Amino acid sequence: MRTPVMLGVLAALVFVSGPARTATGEVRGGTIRIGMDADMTTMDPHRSTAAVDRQVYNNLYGKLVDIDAKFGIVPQLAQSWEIRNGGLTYVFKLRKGVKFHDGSDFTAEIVKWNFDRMRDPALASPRRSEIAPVKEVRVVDAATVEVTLTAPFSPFLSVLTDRAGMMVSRAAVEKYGEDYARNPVGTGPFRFVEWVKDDHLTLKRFDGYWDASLPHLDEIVYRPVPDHSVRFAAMRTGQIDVMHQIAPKDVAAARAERGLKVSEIASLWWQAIHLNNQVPPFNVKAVRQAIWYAVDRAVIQRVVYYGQGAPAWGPFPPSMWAQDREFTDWKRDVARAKAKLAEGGMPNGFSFAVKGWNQPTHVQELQIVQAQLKEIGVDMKIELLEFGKLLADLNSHTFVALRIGWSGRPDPDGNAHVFLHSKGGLNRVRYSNPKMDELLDQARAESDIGKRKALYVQVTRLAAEDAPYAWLHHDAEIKVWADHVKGFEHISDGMLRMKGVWIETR
Amino acid sequence: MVTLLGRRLLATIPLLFLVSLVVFALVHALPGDPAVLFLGEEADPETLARFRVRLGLDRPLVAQYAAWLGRALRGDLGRSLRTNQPVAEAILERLPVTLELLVAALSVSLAIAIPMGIVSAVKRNSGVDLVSTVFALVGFAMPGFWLGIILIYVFALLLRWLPPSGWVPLPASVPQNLLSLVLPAFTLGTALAALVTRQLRSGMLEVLRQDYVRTAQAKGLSERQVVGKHALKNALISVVTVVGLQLGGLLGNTIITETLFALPGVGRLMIDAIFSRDFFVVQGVILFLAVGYVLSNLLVDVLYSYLDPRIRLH
Repeated sequence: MRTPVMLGVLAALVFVSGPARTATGEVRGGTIRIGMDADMTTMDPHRSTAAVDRQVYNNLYGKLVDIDAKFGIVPQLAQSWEIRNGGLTYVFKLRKGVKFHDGSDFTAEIVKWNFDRMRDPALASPRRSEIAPVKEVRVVDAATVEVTLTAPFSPFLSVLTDRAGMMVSRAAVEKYGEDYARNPVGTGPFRFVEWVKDDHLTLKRFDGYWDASLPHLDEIVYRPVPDHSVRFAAMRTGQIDVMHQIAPKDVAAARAERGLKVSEIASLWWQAIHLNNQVPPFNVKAVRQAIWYAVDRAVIQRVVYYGQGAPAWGPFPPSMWAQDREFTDWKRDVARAKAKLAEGGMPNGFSFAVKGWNQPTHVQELQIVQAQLKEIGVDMKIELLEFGKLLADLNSHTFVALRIGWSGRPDPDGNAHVFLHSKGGLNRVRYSNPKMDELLDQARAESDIGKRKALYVQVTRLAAEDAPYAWLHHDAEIKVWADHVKGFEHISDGMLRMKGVWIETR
Repeated sequence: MVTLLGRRLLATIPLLFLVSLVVFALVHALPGDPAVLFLGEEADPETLARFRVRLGLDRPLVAQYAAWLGRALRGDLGRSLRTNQPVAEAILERLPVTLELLVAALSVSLAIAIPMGIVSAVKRNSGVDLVSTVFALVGFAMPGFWLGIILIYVFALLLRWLPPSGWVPLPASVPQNLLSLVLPAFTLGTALAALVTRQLRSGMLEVLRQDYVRTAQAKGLSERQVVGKHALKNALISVVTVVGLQLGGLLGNTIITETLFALPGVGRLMIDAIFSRDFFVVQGVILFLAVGYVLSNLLVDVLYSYLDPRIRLH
C-alpha cells in the first residue's frame, strides 16, 4: 500500500520541481507516518502531562535550548547564554528574525510572557513546579532575556530542553483562549494542520523556519495505534514508516524483518518497587535490604525484557554520566537476604501485598519477583490496578509496596532529587535521611560535572544501603524505522525530532 | 401506532434519568483524582486545588450533578477537561465510524448466520450442520480481541490483502473505507453470527415441525417456498429478539474493536476518557449510548409487530 502513495509523492516532486537534493544527499519532500502508542492529549505544552504529547511538540515548538545525544545543551531559540552570579543568573541571547507559524515575532517580550504564563497560578500549569527556582524574568533588550533564580540550580538548562522551554505564540493564545489546546502555534520546523482525535494528527513543513535549509519533509502524520501487536503489524505492512514503543517480545522479529531497522540505545527510565518506609514491615531498613538482595535483576532483564535495557541499582540509567558503574552490590545473594530478614526480626519471612499496573511486562516482572522472594520465605501478593487508581494510591501513600516506573529526565537531578530528598515532590515512600538530603542539594547547586558525579556516586551507594526503593530495571529506548527513512539522530529522551529526517528516493 | 410509539418514548424519560444518575455516581465513584491525572504527579497541592475549583470538582456531588443535568437537558453535555472540545461535538464527530462499524458487523453476522442457520436446520445432522455447529461454538467462545489479532495476522500480515488498522472516512474514498472496515466488521460480528446461527437453526427446526408447514408441503409447494416463505419468517422472530438483546453487547464490544484496529469511534472516545477521568466525556458518551440502546430496542419492538401481526405494541 505504501509504494503507490510514495511513488505518487515522488512523481509529483519530479514533475513539479524535480527532487531537491543537497550535497549530503538529503531529499526534500515526502510524508512520514509515525505510529504512536496513544493519542495526544493537548497541544498546549504548558498544560501537558502526557509523554506522548512531547513527541509532537518537539517538531511543532521551538525551545530555548535542546540536548544532543551526549546530553550536552545546544542552542535552539537561544543562540547563546551566560551563567552569572555563581549560577543565580542566566542571560539568554535570542536568535533574531524568528517567526511563529502565525507570522508573529519571537522576541524577548514573548519569552518573558511565556515564563509568566507557566508561573501564573490561574493556569495551573504542570510546568510551574519544574521552573519553581525561577525568581524573576527580565527583558534586557529585544533579543536578550535575563532569568534570575532563587538558588543555584544546575539542572535549569536541562529543564528548558523540555516543555518548560517551549515557546507558544502569545497572539494565538489570546486569539483562541481555552481552545488553544486544539489550535497550537509555535516556532518549530513544522506547523499544525489538523488533529482528528484517535485517528491522526498532521503537521506540515513551516516554510518560514529560521533555518531555511530545514526541514526536509513536507508532512508528518502521527497515528495512534494503541495495541502493540497491531502497531507492529502496521509497521510490517508499510502503513507507518516509524514506530514509537515496541513490546520487548517483538524486537527480535523487527530486527529480522526485511525493510525495517531497529535503533536501540539506553533510555532515561527506571522501574522500581516503591517500599513504604513509614509502615511495617518496610519501616525497618534490614527488611528493605532483604528485598534488595533477594531480587535477581539479571533474570528480570533476560526474561521480561528479552535482554534489552539494563539491570537497575539506582535512579541513574547507563545513559547518564551520573551512573556509578563500579557499583556491584546489587547482585542476588539469597544467604545475605535471609540474614537481613533475621536482622530485621523476621527470620521466618512475612507476607505483604504489592500494587501494580495491569500491563503485561509489569505483571511478568512482579511474578518473577514473587517467585524470587518466595525463596527467602517472603510471600508477596500481587494486586493489579488500573493506572489512574495506582497513581491515586501512590500519591496518597496508600500502599505497603507499589511497582511503578519513572520516564526520567536528562539531568540526573530529575531522576533522584524528587524521589530521594525528604522534601522531594515524588517521595511517596516517605524516605528521609539528612545525609541524602545534603548530598542531593549539593549536587543540585554544583555546576562542575566531575564534582557532581562524585556526589551522585555517593547518592547511589547511600540509596542502595537504605534501600527505600527496590530498583529493578532501566528500559531500552527503541525505535523501529522503515529503511527508506534517513537522518534520524537517536537521543536517550526518545523524542522523534524530525527536522533532519528525510526519505530516500528509490 | 404513532401514539403508542409516543407513549413508549415518554416512558423512556424516567429510565434515562435513572441512567444519568447511575452514570454520574459511577464516574465519580471511580478511584483516581482527575486533577492528578491532568496536572501530573509533580503538581503542588495549591495548583491541584485551583484545577479542582476551575472544573467545579470541589463542589458537593449533588450540586455537580444538578449543574450537569441542567445543562444536559438543554443539550449541553459539557466540554472535555483535556481538549476543551464540546462533548456533543466529540460524539457526533465519531458517530459515523461507530455506526458504520455496527451496521457492517450486523450485516456480516446476518449474512453468515441466516444461510448457515437455514441450511443446518433443513439438512440436520449433515456435514454442513456439523460445520455450522463447530463454527457457532468456536465463534461464540473466541474473545473478540484474539480473533482480531488472528485476522490481522492472516489477512494483513501474511496475505497482505487488507490494512491491519486505521480508518478511511467514507467521503474520502468508498473502496478504501470498505477495505478498512472488513477486519473490524468480522471481528465484531463473528460472535453474533455464531449466536444467531444457533438461534435460527433451533427456531427453524421448531417451525418445520408445525402443522402448517406439513400442510404447505402437502399442497405440493416446493421446498424453497416452504422454507423461504412459510418457515423462515416465523423463525426470524426469535432472531430479531436475539439481535435486539445483543445490540447492547455489540455496542460494548465496539470499544475493544475500535481500540484494536485504531478506529476513531465513540467506543474509543469513551475508553480514553475513562482512563484519563475526563468526567464530562464519560458521562456524555454513556448517556448518549443509553439513548441509542433504548431507541434500538424500540425499533426491535416495531419489527416484531411487522414479522408477527399477533404481537402488538402495548
